[in-house]
Amino acid sequence: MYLFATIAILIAMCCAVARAVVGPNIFDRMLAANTIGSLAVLLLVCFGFLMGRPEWLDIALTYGLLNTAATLTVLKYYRHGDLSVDADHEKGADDAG
Amino acid sequence: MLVDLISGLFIGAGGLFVLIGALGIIRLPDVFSRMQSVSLIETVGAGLLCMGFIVKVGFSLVGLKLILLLTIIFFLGPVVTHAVAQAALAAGVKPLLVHDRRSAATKADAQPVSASVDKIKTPNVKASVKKALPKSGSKKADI
Amino acid sequence: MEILVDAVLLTLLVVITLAILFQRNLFAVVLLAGAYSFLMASIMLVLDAVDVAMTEAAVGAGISTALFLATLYLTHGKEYLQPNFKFQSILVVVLAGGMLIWGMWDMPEFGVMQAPLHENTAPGYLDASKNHLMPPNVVTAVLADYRSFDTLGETTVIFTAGIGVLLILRGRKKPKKSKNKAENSHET
Repeated sequence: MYLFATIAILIAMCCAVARAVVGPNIFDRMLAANTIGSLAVLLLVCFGFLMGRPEWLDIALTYGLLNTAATLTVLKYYRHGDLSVDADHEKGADDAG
Repeated sequence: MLVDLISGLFIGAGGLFVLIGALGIIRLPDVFSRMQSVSLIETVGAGLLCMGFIVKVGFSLVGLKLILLLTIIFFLGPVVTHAVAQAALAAGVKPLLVHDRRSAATKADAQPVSASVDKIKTPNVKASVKKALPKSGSKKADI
Repeated sequence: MEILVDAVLLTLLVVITLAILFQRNLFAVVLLAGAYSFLMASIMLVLDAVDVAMTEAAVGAGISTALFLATLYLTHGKEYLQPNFKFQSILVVVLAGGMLIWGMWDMPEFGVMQAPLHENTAPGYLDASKNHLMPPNVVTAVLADYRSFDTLGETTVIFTAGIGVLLILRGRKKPKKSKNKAENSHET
């Protein structure tokens, strides 16, 4: 079963990479990059259990957090055009409208 | 034995859902529908996989780490997909719809829906989506 | 099994690298580079180099994404085509790559026990680290004790990072005023 899960994750990774390469607009790529990160986390877990090395979970945890942080950084930049923008102000203005 | 069976079932189902999500990433037509299959991988697929491993290892440090990992993926994955959807709408990507049910919504749903429609229209990107995307980003960056 | 995972991941790596080469939109390049470093980190982990994998993920996907974006803030989001094709640079790249491949022929085969490294250097450290009252892990002993002056910089960096973490954790209590202000502005 571990083997099946690992191969399924690898196939999913191939699909995500294909989408990241051909994806017509930037959000497709963003979504695909995030998916690749999540799949890398799952691959670590599955492959760790397959090889009998569950210690790799620590690294999987780090990957999960980094993946989210990286994607949100890119999204924030794309939304505001700047990394040092104060999101609370803009959000308040948006919600009022 | 039973534990192996249950965890094997969970892991197999998780792998199956990951495969279905991968199919969706390739086959679905636009960003907003692809988001659903990505969410499928990140919630159901990851959830079932982690559940299977948790059943396998039982209560231990590894199980605790798996629960933490499951929490992270399960809650932060949809946050990221939602942020992508919001950014795409703000940049003017139109969802692919047969007919736009948002404008013809019932009264009960009308309030939040109309607000979201207004939000979409504000960037007023008239050109084709592909052309407009880098432009709007670089315009902001230039200021 | 390891071979299969390695092969798939390396193929995907090649695909992403080619995509980065032919991509003109720099946002897309940043995203693809993030995906690249996640794949690379997975490969490092499969090859059992856990510390390198951690570094690759933290540096490649974490900090360099932010740095690239900070650079894109100053430049345009689109790459212009090179007006003319430089023959000399291609020549230099091909020459350097050829020399690297030529030098690779002299290396011992991957993972062979008869390599000079495993016959001469490693046994000495394995024996000595037991007697010298070093840390029980041989890798840690080599890094932190035998090469302590080499790793002095690294140790300083780690201590600095620890101080930074302590400051962040401590500083949360003090500036309550500014936090309240932000909340108020959010409510209005």
